[in-house]
Amino acid sequence: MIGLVLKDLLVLRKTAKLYIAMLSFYLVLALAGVFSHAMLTGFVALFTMMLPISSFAYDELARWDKYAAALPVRRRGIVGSKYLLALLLGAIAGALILISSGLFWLLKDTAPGEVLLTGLACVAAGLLMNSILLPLLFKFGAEKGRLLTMAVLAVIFLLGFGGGKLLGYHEFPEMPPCLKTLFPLILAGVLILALFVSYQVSLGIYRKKEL
Amino acid sequence: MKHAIEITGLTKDYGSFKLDRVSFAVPGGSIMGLIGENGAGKSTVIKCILGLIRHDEGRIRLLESDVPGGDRAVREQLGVVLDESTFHDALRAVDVGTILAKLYKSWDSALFSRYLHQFDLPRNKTVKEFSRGMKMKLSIAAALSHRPRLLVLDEATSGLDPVVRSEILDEFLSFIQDEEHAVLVSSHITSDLEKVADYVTYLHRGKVTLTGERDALLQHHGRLSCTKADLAAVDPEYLVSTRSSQFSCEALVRNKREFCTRYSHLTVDPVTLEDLMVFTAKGERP
Repeated sequence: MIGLVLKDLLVLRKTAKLYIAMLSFYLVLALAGVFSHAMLTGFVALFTMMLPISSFAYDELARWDKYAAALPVRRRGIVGSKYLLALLLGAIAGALILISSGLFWLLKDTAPGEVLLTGLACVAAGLLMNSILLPLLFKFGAEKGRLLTMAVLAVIFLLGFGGGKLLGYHEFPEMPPCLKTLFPLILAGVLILALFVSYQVSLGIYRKKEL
Repeated sequence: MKHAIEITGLTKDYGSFKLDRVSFAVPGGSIMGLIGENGAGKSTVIKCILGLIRHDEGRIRLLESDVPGGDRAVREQLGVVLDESTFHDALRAVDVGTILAKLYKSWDSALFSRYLHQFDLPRNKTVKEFSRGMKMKLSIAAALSHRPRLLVLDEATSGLDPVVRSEILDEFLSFIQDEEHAVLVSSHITSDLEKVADYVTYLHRGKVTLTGERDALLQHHGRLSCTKADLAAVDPEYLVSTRSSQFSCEALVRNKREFCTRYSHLTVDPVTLEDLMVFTAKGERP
């Protein structure tokens, strides 16, 4: 399975370099005060979400799936490797958030907790999106999966903002203080559960798939 | 190892196409050529063997295992080459080695390097820069470098120039020197298989039309060229199929030796695998 993650990293190295260059550019702009650090953290979430999707597109282009399914790792390994890749990219994104929060603290005197918390929440959101998208990608492939990604994002946007508007909120409601403390733990719990369920669903889909 | 692959009654129904009760075996220490026209079902058989698709009926025994596509231990002993390159354009040959070294317990990096050198494959160029022949040689180097017992190749030589094809066929022949090794190779280029295959299975419209030792199949059949009147006098029991033109007739005959004794005045030429295919696909049944 490690070999498959290594394959994805080697295939994605060019794309990842581009993302990191763009990230550094946004970081400099955010530090210069052109826009807030929220933009940066949003970009990191996108990085976490998009790279595993790209890896499916590259696999499809190379017709890798058939070959991989005949390797000793078998289908369980293929499915597991995509989740491991998502977690690894999430960890890299988390590390980048940690570095940028340190930079904001040193150079802009922004409270590190604030940058760190919003950043990690964005990484968690990226991973949550992956837990929805990976089974769809295993089922429908990269091409249709890309369209479905757009559809899922649109649904989330409509539910979040449209629902808020319907309920009469003009901005996110303030969390009760007790929930605020527990929020990271609740988020981590939801994330672990979502990834576990998603992995089981993907495995069920991919085991039956004819390649 | 008696048989590397044993297939009995393999059936897969797609509706518009059906693989119909396919049976054949690949003995250890031999090369089996799976021949047939495009769309005859060769790739479907190989996909079933590798567990890429599920078959409806029948039994596939792969390196003495009944697990579809083989269990982990079987796959460690299996080398696979599919009809097109399956490595990503962004990877270099050396990356392919690094990845596969993590996926096969018995991966031999030195052997892989030796194959890259032998096949003149640049280590640091990306797959995108490789020609079709180079991609295929990379796939074969990758399939051989974990020292498999069984090689399964789907149309590995199609679309390659004669020099590269001959290089690849030589590699199969040296692989098979070990009695424990076996090769199953599908191709519609019958001349390649005529050079290397010990056994041949001919698939036509999803069914096995012929299977057996290559030499026995070729010796058993003959190509008869004669007039219409001569052909009309031949016992239909000997005729597999016939082709007629305005001036002459040709027929694929079985039991060649017996036929030649009985019809000594008629000319019977040796057949090639291509003759067997063309007569079966295009000829008329008597």
